[in-house]
Amino acid sequence: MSTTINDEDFPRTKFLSRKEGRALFDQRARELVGMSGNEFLKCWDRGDWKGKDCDDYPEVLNLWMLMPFVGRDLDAW
Amino acid sequence: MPGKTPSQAVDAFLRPLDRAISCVSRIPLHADGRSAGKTHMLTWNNDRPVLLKARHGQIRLELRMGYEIVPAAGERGPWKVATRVCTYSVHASDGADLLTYHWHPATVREHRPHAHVGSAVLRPDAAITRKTHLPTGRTAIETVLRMCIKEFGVQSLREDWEHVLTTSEDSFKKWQTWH
Repeated sequence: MSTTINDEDFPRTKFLSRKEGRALFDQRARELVGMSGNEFLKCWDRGDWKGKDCDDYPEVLNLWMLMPFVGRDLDAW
Repeated sequence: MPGKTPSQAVDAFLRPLDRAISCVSRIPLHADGRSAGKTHMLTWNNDRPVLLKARHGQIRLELRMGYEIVPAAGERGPWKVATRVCTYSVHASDGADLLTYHWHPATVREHRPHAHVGSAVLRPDAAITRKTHLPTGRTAIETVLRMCIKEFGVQSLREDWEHVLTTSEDSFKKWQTWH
């Protein structure tokens, strides 16, 4: 059943530390593409998906979006 | 959303989102930063789909949103948050894709906002596939949350959910800008 909650009483966005962000990225890389976060970044930097259709690699698209959590900007594909 | 400082702009951006999310869940969003000049990311539930009780069982909802704090002029400034990329996905309880909203202008194929229909709801011989880009215009997460409540029967956690989502969505429309 829904209730009207105190308008200040709702969860606020939590800002992750760089260490927490790296842990999140590493865990998701292992779950989505079966490699560590660092291994994924090496493949990315090598250009393994450069110019490819992101619709063929939805897991890579998801990880690409998480790169800011490890201090990286969103490079163009 | 405007702010006197980059940090205030982020707070003004996040507060309506946090309120909107509270319509369906108590799980907070996670973000990576509030400094100007780079893209930051927002995700939910440690980047895993959130299980929501719906009319016919359960659905899973996931979101990622990239944002950048940029200088702005006039009533939009001196700092505001611009959305750079986003994905909102609705999955069946078993994880099968139902519907995904995408906007990722830095990728190679489709730069405009679009949706994908999941293969779980497509006939094998359908004229569209899971890769077909269906144009949508910019879609706010509030729009997706409203769809989840009204169309999928997701249980709302607050009676004022419609007011909360409408207020937040109106704010999104008022302040949204393209690149």
